[in-house]
Amino acid sequence: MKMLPAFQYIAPGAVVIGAVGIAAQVVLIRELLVVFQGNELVIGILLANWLITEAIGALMGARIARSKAPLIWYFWLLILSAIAIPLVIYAGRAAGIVIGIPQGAAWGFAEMLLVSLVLFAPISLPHGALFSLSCRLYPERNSESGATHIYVLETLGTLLGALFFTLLLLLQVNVMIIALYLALTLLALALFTAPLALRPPVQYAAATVLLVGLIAGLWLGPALDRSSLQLRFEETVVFSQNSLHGNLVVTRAAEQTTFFYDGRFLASAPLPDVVLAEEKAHFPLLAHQNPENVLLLSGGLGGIVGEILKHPVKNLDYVELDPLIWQAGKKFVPGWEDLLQKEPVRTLTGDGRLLLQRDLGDYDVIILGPLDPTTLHLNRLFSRQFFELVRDNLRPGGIFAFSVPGSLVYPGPELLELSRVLNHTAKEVFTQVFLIPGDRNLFLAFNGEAAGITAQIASTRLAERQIQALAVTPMYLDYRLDERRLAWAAELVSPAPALGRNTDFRPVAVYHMLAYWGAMFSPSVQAVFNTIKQLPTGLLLLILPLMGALLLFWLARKKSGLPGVALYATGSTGLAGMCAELYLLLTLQIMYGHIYLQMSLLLALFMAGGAAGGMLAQKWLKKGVSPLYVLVKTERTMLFVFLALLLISFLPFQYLGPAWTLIIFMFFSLLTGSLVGLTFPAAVHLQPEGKKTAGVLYAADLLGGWLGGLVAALFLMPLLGLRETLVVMMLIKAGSWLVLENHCRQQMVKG
Amino acid sequence: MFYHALDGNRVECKLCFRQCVILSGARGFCRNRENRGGRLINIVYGLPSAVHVEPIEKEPMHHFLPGSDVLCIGTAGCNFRCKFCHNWHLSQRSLEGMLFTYELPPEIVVAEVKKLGVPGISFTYNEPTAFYEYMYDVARLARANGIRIIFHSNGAMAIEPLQTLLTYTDAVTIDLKAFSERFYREICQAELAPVLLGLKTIKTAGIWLEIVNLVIPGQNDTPQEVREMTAWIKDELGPEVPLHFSRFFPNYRMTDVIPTPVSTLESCRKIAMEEGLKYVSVGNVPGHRYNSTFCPGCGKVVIRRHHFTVRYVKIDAGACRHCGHLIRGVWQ
Repeated sequence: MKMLPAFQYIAPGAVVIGAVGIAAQVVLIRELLVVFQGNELVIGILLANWLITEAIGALMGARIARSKAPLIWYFWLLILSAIAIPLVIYAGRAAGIVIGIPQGAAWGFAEMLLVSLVLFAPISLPHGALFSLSCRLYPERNSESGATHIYVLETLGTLLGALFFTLLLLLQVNVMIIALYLALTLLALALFTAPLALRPPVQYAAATVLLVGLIAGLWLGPALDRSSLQLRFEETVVFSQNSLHGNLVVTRAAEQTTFFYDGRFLASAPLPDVVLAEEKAHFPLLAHQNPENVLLLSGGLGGIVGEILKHPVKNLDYVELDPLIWQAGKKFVPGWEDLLQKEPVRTLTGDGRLLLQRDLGDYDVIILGPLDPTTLHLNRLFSRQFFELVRDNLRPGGIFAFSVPGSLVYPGPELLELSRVLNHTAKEVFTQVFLIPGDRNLFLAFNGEAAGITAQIASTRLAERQIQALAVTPMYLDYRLDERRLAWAAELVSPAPALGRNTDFRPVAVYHMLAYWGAMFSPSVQAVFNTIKQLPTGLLLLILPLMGALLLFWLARKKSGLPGVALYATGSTGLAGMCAELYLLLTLQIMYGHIYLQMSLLLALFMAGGAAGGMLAQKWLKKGVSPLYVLVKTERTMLFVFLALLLISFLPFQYLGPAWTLIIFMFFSLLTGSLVGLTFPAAVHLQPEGKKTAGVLYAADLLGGWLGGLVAALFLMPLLGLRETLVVMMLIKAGSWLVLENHCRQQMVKG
Repeated sequence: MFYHALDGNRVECKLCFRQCVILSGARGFCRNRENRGGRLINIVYGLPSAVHVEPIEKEPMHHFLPGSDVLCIGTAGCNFRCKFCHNWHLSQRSLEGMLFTYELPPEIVVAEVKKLGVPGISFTYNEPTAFYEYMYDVARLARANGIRIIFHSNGAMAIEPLQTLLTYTDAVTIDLKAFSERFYREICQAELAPVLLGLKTIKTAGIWLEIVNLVIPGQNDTPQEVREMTAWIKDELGPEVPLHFSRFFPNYRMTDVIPTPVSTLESCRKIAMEEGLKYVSVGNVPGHRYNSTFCPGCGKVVIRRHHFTVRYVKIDAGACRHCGHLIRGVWQ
């Protein structure tokens, strides 16, 4: 076998593979989230499938690495990954047609699970295998430090890839073009290794074919993007763009322009959902005696702005998070720009919660657009803390209007529980809360003396303000504000919610939204949610640590002691590290606002910490420090860091200011990442056959990370709370620390 | 009602087009008809989960007591699996999945209607076939008390039970979801032919009939399909059956489809009028001019509607106030 000069090929190759891997993962997951119209649960499924296939790839790679020609495998796996990236994006958009899902119909749970697995495999299997092959081809292949070097370099690549991808999104580069650039990068790496892997004629032929294919691909990129999008939508796609916040697609059919955000219907023009827009605007404004100062938090594209301006409003502040909305609105909605330039309207781009924290002003009415608490970050707009913020920005007698999915007829258990939670949470903050049931249950929360709303009052004001509406007429008000129906709804939401109130640190509303999603798409998933919901809190707190302890016991016996414990430590550190990072990201959002750049920075520092930790461990191990000692110290420090993380959530961040807040979170992200990075090299050195088990440890690290993301986001954080989730992680890590500490003492005694 | 006993305690349900063979202890496709030792029992009898007073225009029902309210009743269960179902919370669940039910035997329903002072009862929200026995008993009792009975159905009830029910029915709204077997099979897990047969049966029985067609872009909106459907309605049911083209919005499992462009609805209406239908309206578009009813004689508005609001009715003794043209419907 030919030996590759490490720093010419394999070392930079590991960085490139790491960078392309993370970018391809994010591109694909974002793309499939749009195709599946996914939520937190779908993110979990996608991450799981990615990590599982990557772990399988790493194990397969470990076997391939023992073959006679690992370099040829290395070359062809690079080619396979490169070709697969743009093809998989295309296939993802066409998958619905291939498996026979009627156009426009949403995906079921099993379909998502299988299709994402099939789509990820051509990229993540080779990606995982390339890690093991890189370890084998690395010059220091006979030592454990070779695996560690590759791990560190790949982590470094992951960091660079994440930053580069963020930059591409900032520049609004098309997804298909990003995929082609990623393919180009891998092909370039393959071409560098071609002279060593292939014979001259094959080498030249391969290089020519690849280069021609690539140039053709880049040239055809936009057309490829358009044609693949066309497979998803029956109508002509006239605009498709990704931003840091999401994906916006605009289609055109006859006179109508339709906007889809992250795959979900957002609005249509020129005629929007008239009933939704009118109810959302007129019900709260008619409930107020004199709505002069109004704040609209997103959703203006669906016609609400025009309806609000029918009232005697002197100032309307309209906030959107994603600048793409303004861009597309101006381009495709007739009269949109003129409407926004009207005297009372002031447009603001940014996070609504952050803007309110900066004390925007005193409002008579604040309307939250048709958003749902489908994710942990959107829950920030439905929590008790947010309600308090809204109340503090309302004048006495002011009204806050928000809505969630509901029904005018029969709500279903999941939606009713969601409405109960929000009703009770709002009642703790506002003087009085009214529910107007409908396809979207509309809550009107009053600050100060509650005037309420009746059909008679609303009709009188409608006449006084000379409002001409298409759906909201006096007769319609009689129907929608019928006392019997309002009393029915109030009675339904009055019992105390089973899971208590919705807060920033215990986002139970997300749990109910996930259960609602399960009810629509998968009764079996819904059954899981219902069962877990009924478990006592104490059991929820202890169930994972107990399962961890059993696994630890089994591994320690099966893998003759220390190697098994080290394997467990690697997996549980992956799990705890992921939870800690999730905790940091969510807490920062709660404290600081929904700001992608800062979040990217935090993630980048976590990865940089991982690389730094890996290098530090390498250095210590080279100096002869015992790997067991490194592992024990790492585990112990992790417990202290988690304790500190727990305490920082109680810091008065409002007094510290955004800069200090960010610095504190950046420090902890780096620290957590470095602890994760320290674990892997030490664990590798504790394995009897060194590098041969690197693939297994890598797989354990990945699986732990996946489990952490899934279990924390879906169950622990919504049901127990963010802080309590950290306690669970501390209990899990305490188990491996105690066992490792015991081994350490035994060795010292023997020594 | 309407089943055959088979060997081994099995039964064959004869209520709808599916003709489910149900093993002892099992339930039919509708989730409501349960075989208890060879006897078919409807488990939602007297247990509705949705009971509300609604404007009759919401059904939609435009030529039957316009501007009046009716008591609407629905239960769990359905014999279709439409991916766009608006009331899936009810229709796509079994009784056990219900959050609550009201214990409302037929006598109480009738007493409640009298108390409310509304002229009629509508069996709606979910498919009434799924609670046939309950609907039948309420209808029979209500009619004896002078209360009007309407129901809103997918039209796939078997002929015999349908004819039996129509004896106590005043008006029916049928969802003609599309005019292709493909749509019924792929989107609803059902069949078109039984629906067409059901429509003819209702018409033959002389019961007031209105049809609603939810126009879903890319699924059932080609001019050819609309033309074939409206021609069939005119030929088989007559030109005076009101037809409502309704605007679709993303819902339930069909969230990736655009709302129906208004011009598509207008095109559908134009085709239907060209085919000779007299009363064709556009629904779910508040304020649209074709939300109202026009006189086929003089072309003037005889019922001005604004979404569910009836602004005026210019029909005297069943005739247009402007020109005297006979307007078919039930006006008193």
